[in-house]
Order: sequence, then C-alpha cells, then structure tokens
Amino acid sequence: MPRERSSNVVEAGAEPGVTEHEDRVAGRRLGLAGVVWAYLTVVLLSHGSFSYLFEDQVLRNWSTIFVSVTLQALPFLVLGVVLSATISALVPPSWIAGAVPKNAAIAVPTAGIAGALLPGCECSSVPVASRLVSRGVPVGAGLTFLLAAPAINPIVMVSTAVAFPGRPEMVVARFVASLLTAVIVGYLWTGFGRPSWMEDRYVNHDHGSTLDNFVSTATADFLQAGGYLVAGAGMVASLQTLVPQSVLEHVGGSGAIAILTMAGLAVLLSVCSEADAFVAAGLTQFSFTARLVFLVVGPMVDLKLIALQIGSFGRGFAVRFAPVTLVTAITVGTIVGVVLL
Amino acid sequence: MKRLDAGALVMLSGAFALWISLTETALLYVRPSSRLWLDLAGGTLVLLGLGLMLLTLRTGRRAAESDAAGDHVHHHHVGRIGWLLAIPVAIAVVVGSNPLGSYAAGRQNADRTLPAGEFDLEQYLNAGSFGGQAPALRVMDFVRAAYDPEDQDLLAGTRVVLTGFVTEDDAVSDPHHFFLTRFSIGCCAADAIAVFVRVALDDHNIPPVDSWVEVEGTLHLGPPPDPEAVPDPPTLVATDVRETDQPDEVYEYPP
Repeated sequence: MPRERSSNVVEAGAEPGVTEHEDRVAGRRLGLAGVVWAYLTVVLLSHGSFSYLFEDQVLRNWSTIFVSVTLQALPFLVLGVVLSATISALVPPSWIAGAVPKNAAIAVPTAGIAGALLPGCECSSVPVASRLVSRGVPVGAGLTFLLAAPAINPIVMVSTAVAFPGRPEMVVARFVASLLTAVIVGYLWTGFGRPSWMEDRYVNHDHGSTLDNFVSTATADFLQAGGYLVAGAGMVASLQTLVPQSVLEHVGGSGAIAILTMAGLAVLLSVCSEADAFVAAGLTQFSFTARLVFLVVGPMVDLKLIALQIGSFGRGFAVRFAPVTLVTAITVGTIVGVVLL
Repeated sequence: MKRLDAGALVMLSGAFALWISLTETALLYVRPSSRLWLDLAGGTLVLLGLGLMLLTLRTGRRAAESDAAGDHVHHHHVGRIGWLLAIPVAIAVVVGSNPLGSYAAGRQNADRTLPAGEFDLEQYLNAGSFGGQAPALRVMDFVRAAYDPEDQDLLAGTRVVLTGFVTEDDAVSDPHHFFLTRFSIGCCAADAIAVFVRVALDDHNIPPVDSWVEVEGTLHLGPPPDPEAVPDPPTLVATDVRETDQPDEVYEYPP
C-alpha cells in the first residue's frame, strides 16, 4: 500500500478527494484497514470460543486493566471532542482573535484564562493556536493558549476531581501549576523567541457545511486522541501487570527521582488530558507531588503533541518549545505541589 | 485512514461502549455510576460514526458525478494511530471479561491503605433489619470497624457475613487460614485497592483460590496493634463458610 501511505502523508488539503475517489473506483486492496476489519470480523464471529486459551492470570489481569482504563476515559474523551467540534464549527476563530488584546504583556495572561474557559483536548488546541497566531494574535499568547486550553479547562478539572475523590486541593494545584506554566512559557517566548524558528504550515481548509465540519472534526479528533488513549492504557496495564511491584515501589515514593519518573511517564504515555487524572490516580505508589507533575506535564509535552507541533509549526519550533515547556512544567509543578499538597 | 473506515471505527467504538455498559460486564471495569456516561458516550459515537459514513457516501457520490471532485471531501487527516481503538474491542471479546482476582491482589503494596470513607458500625447495626440473619458488612467497612478502637469491641461481639474471593495467606503457613479479599475501586479497575480479612477455620477445608465465598463469623480481638506499624489484616473466626456466585457488583465502591 505505498501509494495510500503517501497520500496520507500529504497534507490533507492538498489534493483532497481525488485519491480516495480513485481508491474506491480501483477496488479494495488489503491494506491495514482490510487486515483490521477482517480480524475483527473473525473475533466477533468467534465470540468467546477461544477464551479458554486465555486463562492465564497475567493476561487476564492485563486485559481487565487495559479495557477499564479505556472505558473510564471514553466518556470524557467524547465530551471533549464534541465540545471542541462544536466550537470549531460554530465559533468563528475571528471572534476569538478579536477578544485577545494585541499587547503581549496583557495578551499572554488573557490567553491563559481564555484557555481555561475553552474546553478542548491537546490534539485540537494545536491547530487552533496555530490558526490564532496566523490571524495576528501575539505568538506568546497563542502558545499560552496552546498550553492552557487542554490543561485547565472545565472538563479536565471535573475529571481530576472525580479521579481524586476527597482531595480537592489536587484540582486547585493542577489549575494553578498549569496556568502558571502556560503563562511563564508564553512570556519566555515573547522575550526570547524568534519568528524564524516558526514556520506557519497551517492550511486553512475550505470547510463544507456546519454539520459536515462538526462530524468530521469530532470523529477525527476522537480517533486521533482515542488511538493515543489506547496506547496509554496498554502501557498503564503493562506497568501494573508485568513490572514487578518491588521495582515500582523502588522508583515510587516521594523523592526527586519519583518526580522525574512521572514527568517522563507523562511524556511517554501521552494520555489525553481528559483522561490522565484517572491514570495518575491509579499510580498510587507515587507521591501526590509527583502525580501533580504528571498532570501538569502531560497535557503540555508528550510524544503526540511534539509530533503535532512539528506538523503545525515546524521542527525548529518543536525542538526548542518542548524542552523549555518540560523544564518549566516540572519546576512549577514541583513548587506548587510542595506548597499546596 | 479513509473516511468510511474512520466512520466505521467510531461506530465500532460506540457500539463496544454500549455493549459493555448495557450488560453487567461494565461492573468488571468501572463504577456503576459510570454506566450512564458510557451509554451517552457510546450513543454519541454511534451517531457520529454513522453520520460520517453517510456524509462521506453522499459527498462521494456528488464528487463522482461532477468534475469538481477536489472540494473538501477528505479535509480532516486522521493518522493510522486511530486503528488502535480496535484493540480493546478485540481484547475484551477474545480474552473475555474477567474481574481482578488473586493475581492482582498478590501484587498490591504492602502498606494496606484503606479506601477513603467513613463507617458507623453501631448506626448500621441498629438501622438495618436483618431478619434474624447475621448482618452483611462490606469488607472495607468490616476492616475499618476492626481498626477502630471504639467499634472493635462491638464487632467482636456481633456475628457478621462478609463476601469476597479467596486468596492464599502467605504469612500464616497454617492449613486453617485464608484471606477473604475484595477490591475497592475509586474510578476503574486500574485504581483498585485490595482489602484483606484473614479467615480462621476450624473444621472446614480451605476453598479454592479465586472462588467466591460468604463467610459468617466474629472478629477475633488481638492485642492492640502498634500504631507505628502497618496494621495486619483483621482476623474473622469463621463459623460458616459457603461457596457462592460471583456478585454482579464485583468490587466495592467507596463514596
């Protein structure tokens, strides 16, 4: 399927429709899609017939945790992508751009607050921030919005409260640390950033009807974020099932190593911000401060975000922005955790 | 990923959530209160996926009829990462749905943190009418009361029934002890905390590991625990051990 792959890599707006149309006319080839659908058909038809092969305790334990992390996060993911698609389809970006002041010193904190009010997951905040910047919002403010929107919106705050019952200070600490990190990085970029690091690759698509726009955005966001959620759930299940508990207890605890480990896990797991509180709540062997750092870093720096940022702003941007954000998030998260938790 | 595949995959994810949630299977994974949200999310996904497929078929036909095939047919790029959503469906169907059991219990941390919550034993015993039977307690409530200096005397004088599954008691190499174990979950099975009660038997055989049992008995009052140390699981002196079916609500759910 080399041709199909190349058509996927090409920015979707470049030659829309043509390849898909030709594919359909040319008939189906057994690509990844064919393999997945064929496999699922076999699995669903043989429902339960092979479960006797999987009586292994380790596998069963892995599968229970894997499926439960996915299921627990799913409603939040759906809520997130539906709200984000509603805004994308109904609220014109020009309205948002008009609401942000042109002066960077005021615009950065304003963008942070705006991010707190606008629900969306990190996958949609990258193109939105890119679009805001291309419409004249100061770059620092756009980046603050990029970091703040997925980290501290109401859905994320609610899911954090649900995941940490009886610990409302966790919600407060997450809000404060994430907003501070977003604003600090925004100011840093305003002070030291160079326009040449950024390439504006964002293509404004000519969208179809509002309904088409809504459905396309919501499903695309869901599949993108859901795919990474499944990957994260798999890693959580593996961590909880396969890694000997003594290793985790050794790494866990409350020291600086625990904090750095959790920051590293946040980057690697790449769990969506609507769901990461549940993952953090499950990692009970780590201190609350270390888990706060996980919650602050996760929505701002992770593997899928870095990939999305390379796609929207260019490599030169991402190699500078991600490390600066990571260091700021770890520092601010640790300080806020020590003070509040 | 093509739009038809994307639509079908979103529908599949929604149908999976609905299937899990509308059967008792959901209780193996999440709190009962999460089922409503799973229903809503599943229904939304089915509609979105169906909508995407219908819109794609309509747009595709229009594009095929005219030469203007280049307009916004395929403007939202979805990477191959989305295919991973097929995995939970396959896993849940192939491996089957199983509750956490003795394997997970054996991996719990040594410090036996109780799930958050409060329990008033006296009020519970006075309020309930148990029809002459020994009152049933949740395992975590039993343990909480057994650790409570005020409640433990009352508990030691009251015959109660606990339900849980059997795990091996490694600490006591005595054929007359096992652990009655129950998981308590805050959100989902990934944050489960195992709660243990040591069961002392006189003349019964120990039931097989991972089987579900109802144990009737009274708390054995030991010497007062060292407040510095991690408390040992409380001991229930069993008068009756009955094998039972796995309950629908397989975990306990603290408030």
